[in-house]
Amino acid sequence: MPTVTFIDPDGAAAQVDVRRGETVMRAARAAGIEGIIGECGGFMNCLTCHCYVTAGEGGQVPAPSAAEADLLDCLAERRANSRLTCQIVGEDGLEGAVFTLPSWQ
Amino acid sequence: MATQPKPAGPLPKLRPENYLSREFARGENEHLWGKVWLVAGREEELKGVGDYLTFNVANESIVVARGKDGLVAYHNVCPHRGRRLADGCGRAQQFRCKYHGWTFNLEGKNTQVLDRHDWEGALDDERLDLWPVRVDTWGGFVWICMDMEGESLAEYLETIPQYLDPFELQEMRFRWKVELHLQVNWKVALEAFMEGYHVAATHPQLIQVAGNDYTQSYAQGKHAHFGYWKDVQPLGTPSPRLATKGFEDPREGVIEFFRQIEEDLNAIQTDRDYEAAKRIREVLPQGTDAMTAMVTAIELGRQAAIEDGTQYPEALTFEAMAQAGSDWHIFPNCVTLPYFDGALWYRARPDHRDPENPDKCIYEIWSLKRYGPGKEPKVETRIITDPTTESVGLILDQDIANMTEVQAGMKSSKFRYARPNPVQEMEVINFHQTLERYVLGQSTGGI
Ligand code: FES
Ligand code: FES
Ligand SMILES: [Fe+2]
Repeated sequence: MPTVTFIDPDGAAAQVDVRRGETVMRAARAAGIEGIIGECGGFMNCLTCHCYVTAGEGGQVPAPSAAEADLLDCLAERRANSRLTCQIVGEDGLEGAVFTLPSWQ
Repeated sequence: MATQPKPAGPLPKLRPENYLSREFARGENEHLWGKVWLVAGREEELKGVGDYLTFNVANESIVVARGKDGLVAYHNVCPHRGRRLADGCGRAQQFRCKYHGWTFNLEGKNTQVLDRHDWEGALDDERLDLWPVRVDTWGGFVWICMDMEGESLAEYLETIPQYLDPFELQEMRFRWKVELHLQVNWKVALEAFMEGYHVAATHPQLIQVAGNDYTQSYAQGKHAHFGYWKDVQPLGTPSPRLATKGFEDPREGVIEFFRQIEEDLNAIQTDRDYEAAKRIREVLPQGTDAMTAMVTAIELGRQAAIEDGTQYPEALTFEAMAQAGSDWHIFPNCVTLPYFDGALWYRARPDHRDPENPDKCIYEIWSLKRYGPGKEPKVETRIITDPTTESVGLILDQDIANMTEVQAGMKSSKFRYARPNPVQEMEVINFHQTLERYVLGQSTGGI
């Protein structure tokens, strides 16, 4: 089960285990990470699960789909490594990935 | 040569139906609110990209937000099946309808229609973006106009910026906010603050120390103001209506005036001004005349404001302050009483939960103040649904107590029209003349 790190806007870090096949958004919500709201439950509708992602020792985080990339353009605080965490699924490659929360969500 | 008696002027009259009839309320909803510039909020509420607020008036709801390139405003309704999109205020990346998830970016463009293929292209030529509303700013206020054509905000405000710009209302921040839910017409509530003629009878404690309370009022296009321009007497002295000579030591009268404003109103002049005024006991000798005492108290307030980190508004000379007068009606639904250090701002409108009911309104009172950088408080709106059990301070309680009695009294079979004072109540007279032009198409020109 990959373990990832969430960093809140004040710099505080929290470790979260992401069960294989579960989305990072749901794992973060279950772990009580503030700032991951996931209002729509994960169908790329609400954009309230946005994070900046850096891959860890596990390797690569799969690239966003075209649909996700389109939606990321709507974000006021979009950066090159912006992602919707409801679109990232737990798998070995995720080990050590770091998810930095935007300053507001 | 014998002096000719001055011929009587025409008696100004106001129609009670303007306050009491459902039909007139419907007329306002149809012909007024959608045609004028209205205050939707304060710029300080929309600091960052994505900050939004909603403003409901009559049957309309408007959402105003800070987009990437400045303020934007839209009708707050989803084009799919009409759900309101946003509620209250907050910060959002986009507008998302909670019903079926259609989304719109801050530019108002539709960004998602769930299962769009179901329409088989039929949506392609359909307009799915949010309906825009004009938005602009003046005085730190966010103004909207639902009519996409017509006057700009600057044109709409007419002479107001010329008189009120020197006060730099945009430099002020909320000190406190009250929202009253009242069982009276929105105009009855607003008009309680549109003349100084009521001060002697309604606020007897105030005229002991507020100088000459006799006012004059003038129309300024659709708007109007009143002030104290005749036989001016310094603050701290008693009204000439009274036999009393007032405080033996005029310094004490001036301090008492600032105390009343601070403790009984908590607006316009500020706590800083009251603290500064008390210092005239130290800096002025006993027996100082009232005018010197007043001017010194104001000057000490100015210095206290500067020491507190706020700049004094440069253009606000004594002349500019005198020309502006004390109180402005900003057509249709706002009134302000500005001072260099703070201001009162009132906003009235029909209760949007029952918009055709002429006996209900939402009445907001905003106390604004100049703060040093970063010193402004975080202010929550106090909502009051029964003002008979909750006080907003002595002076405002006295004003509010008149409102329900006026609304009820005007329903008397004997009350055919109101007889406003042509010198002191011009704000009210001009208000109805302008309002009737919007609602009835032309001024009825008498009853
Ligand atoms: S949870 Fe709604 S977009 Fe990711
Ligand atoms: S009403 Fe808004 S998506 Fe259906
Ligand atoms: Fe009053």
